[in-house]
Amino acid sequence: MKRPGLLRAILGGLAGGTAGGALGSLGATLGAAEDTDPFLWAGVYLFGLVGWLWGVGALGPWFAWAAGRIDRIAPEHGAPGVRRYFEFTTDHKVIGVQYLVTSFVFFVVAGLLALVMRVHLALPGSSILDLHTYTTFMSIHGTVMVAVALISLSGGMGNYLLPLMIGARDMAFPRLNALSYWMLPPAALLILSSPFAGGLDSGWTAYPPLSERLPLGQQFYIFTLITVGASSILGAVNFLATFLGLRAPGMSWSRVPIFVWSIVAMSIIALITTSVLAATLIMLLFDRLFGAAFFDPARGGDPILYQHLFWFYSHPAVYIMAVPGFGAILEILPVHARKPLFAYRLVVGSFLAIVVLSLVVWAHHMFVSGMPEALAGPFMVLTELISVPTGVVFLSALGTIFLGRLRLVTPMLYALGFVSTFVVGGLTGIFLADVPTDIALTQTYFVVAHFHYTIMGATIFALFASIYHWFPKITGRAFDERLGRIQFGLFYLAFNAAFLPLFWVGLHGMRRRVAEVPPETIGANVVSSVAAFLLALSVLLFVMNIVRAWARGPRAAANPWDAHTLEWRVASPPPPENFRVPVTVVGGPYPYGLPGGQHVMPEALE
Amino acid sequence: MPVARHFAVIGAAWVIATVAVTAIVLNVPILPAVASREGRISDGAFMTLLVAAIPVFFLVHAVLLYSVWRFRARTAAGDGPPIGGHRTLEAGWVAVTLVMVLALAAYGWNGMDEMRSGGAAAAQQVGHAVAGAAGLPGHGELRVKVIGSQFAWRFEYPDLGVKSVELRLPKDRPVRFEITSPDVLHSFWIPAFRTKQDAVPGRTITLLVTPTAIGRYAAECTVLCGAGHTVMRAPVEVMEPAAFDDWVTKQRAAAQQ
Repeated sequence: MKRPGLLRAILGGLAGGTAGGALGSLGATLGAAEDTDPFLWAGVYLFGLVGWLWGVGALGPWFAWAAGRIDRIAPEHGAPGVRRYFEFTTDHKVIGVQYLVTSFVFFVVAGLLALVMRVHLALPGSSILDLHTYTTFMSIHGTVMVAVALISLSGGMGNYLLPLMIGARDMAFPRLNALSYWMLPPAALLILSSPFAGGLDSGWTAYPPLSERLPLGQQFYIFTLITVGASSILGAVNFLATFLGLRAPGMSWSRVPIFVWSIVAMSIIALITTSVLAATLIMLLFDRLFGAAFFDPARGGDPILYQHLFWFYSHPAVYIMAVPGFGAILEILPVHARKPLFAYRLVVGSFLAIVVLSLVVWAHHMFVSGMPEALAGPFMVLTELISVPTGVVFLSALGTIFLGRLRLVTPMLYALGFVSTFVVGGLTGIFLADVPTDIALTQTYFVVAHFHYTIMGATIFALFASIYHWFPKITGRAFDERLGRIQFGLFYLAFNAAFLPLFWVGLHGMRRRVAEVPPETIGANVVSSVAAFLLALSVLLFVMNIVRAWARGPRAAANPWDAHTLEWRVASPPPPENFRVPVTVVGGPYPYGLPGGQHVMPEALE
Repeated sequence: MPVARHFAVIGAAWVIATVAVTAIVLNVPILPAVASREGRISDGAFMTLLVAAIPVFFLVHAVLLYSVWRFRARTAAGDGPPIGGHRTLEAGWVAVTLVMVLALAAYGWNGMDEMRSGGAAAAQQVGHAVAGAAGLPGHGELRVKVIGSQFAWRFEYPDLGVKSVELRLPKDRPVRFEITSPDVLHSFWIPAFRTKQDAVPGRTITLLVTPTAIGRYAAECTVLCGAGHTVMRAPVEVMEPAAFDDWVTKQRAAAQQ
């Protein structure tokens, strides 16, 4: 019990939760609140979170440091072997894996909820789920998947790769980095327990006044998103500081791998917008707990204000999810096409243009909300303009593979699959940015199909591409290539079979977030449901491949793909603190086809 | 093989696929029946965007599939040519996408203005045709108050003195919906009309629609309004103006009894 660890974290969480619950109840009683439960559970969560973080060892060192007891702070590279993944550690590579595995677990959990919903929708007239349970499952599926898409690539691959790629020994603030990870498990537990607290009937968007009238489960949603947001802000600060301060000698801005640029762009967006979401949710919480009436029209508030604030974060959030996906794909394509990245500078400029434009497009979610009509036109134009920098991603991808020598290994297949699926997501986005078509299509399954093609077609395809591509680096082992290709084929086909029919379903009048299927769309919905199970099967194949390879796959070389970026120039897996000898960067990251072309000196770092 | 040959093959495949699929798309009914003036504008915009999207889709897939087929490495060794970019191509790509996007945005803005005009011209045209029947006020727009509440719709015709749980509308007469809610957000949508508008508590928001086809439809809620959201719908019927007047007369008589 003296050492921080999972057990102490759980006990700390329980102790904090008990104390917080007592404090919350006491406060509610003293304040003569009608219902003490919301205060009790607010106390349980907030103090439980602090207790958990204290127990796991995320807070102690800072207090020791503040108290001048630096001698008490031990280096925390964690235990050897598998155990380090279950402990507080400051090693960015371990934290990256923790992010990846945690977000994958929740990807599976939220995916299983989707399967239950798809069964319900495929059997018209069924009563597998009642309306309330269906809506709760749908809301949790949406909220958890949004969180997964936000943190899996950037938190997982970003943490693992960014320091390695720029030649740093770790992140700029390793303890902050660990803290931002360890905030997430309590938040995940909270949202998953909302069905036991009255459910969640307001979707992942939680529009008031409905969200101010729903039971305690809605409050769980609020605390979950605030926690994920806080974690995201800390992560963004850390990425930016690391990028700005810890690049190896010679790593000028034009020699930085494109994935790093995508994480930088993502971090700027997250840093600017996430605090707005947190503030919005705190206002919603104040409405619920203290009758603050920010958004309740019955007491002088404005529900449309909430939508402006919510989408000011939540549309840029799409780019927080997607831009690291762009970066990962454009990082992987040159390696397996054996060609330099096409139009590198234009891509970097496009990422930064996306940062700026993402801040001024939010109201395209609100064309039918009742906002002033004069806003619709400008937001339509600005939203459509963002397809110009996004289009550059396609130029770069296609320019890179054209005339290349393509190795169609599993990560490459996923990268090519990304190009194929994300173009559908991008093109259907124009229909939803255009006012005359959006008025018809918004709030229907056309939107559901569209955002699955963008978020899944971009971020999740990029996540699979990244896991396959960097798996040999992370684990030092090779996965089964044949099984990987089969898994990709099944995933690609099942993905399209599951979501392409939903465009048609939406055009034929199926509304979002409803638990029944219009009669004329039953056939298409059944196809989608069957394909959803094939999608699940392919995820199962992926898990089997990865788990088996990690446990007893053949050893992988340090640089099995013959790539140039820095992470491939150290051992697989890389040692703690990454580099044993000083690194000097002497050229661009993709010197493919250039005789004697070098990215780093010395050639061998091991 | 010179680069020009690659481009020729890709270009040919692109043109063939684009022309073939565009021909199919224009000759197969993709959208369900439409029943309003505004819906026709929306459907026209949908088809325009679809036709604009097809060449983009096939350009990306033509280069993608050609590269996979033609540039697949058959031996392990060797890199491709060190081409890091192409200034003219990059500038051209950005310029073309920018022009396309601005053209589509201008087209969208135009359609938006047309939808919002509420068929003012149409109102003048049909005003005389529907006037005077059964002594009801028949000129210009028909005002209908739409009240969405958890989990049902109510309709009021303030100029006609009718309240109803079903929506009846005369064909070809512009309707001014005044939409509101006493509780939470809802959204008023008749799929065959295409247009929709949120019902916001504390506000009354106007939506102008001119029904153009006789038939039975449904008004549905499209903003998640609680567990009963799924079942929040009301019957809608677009009728001949004379039949509508009869219905109004009967409703009034029933209300007076």
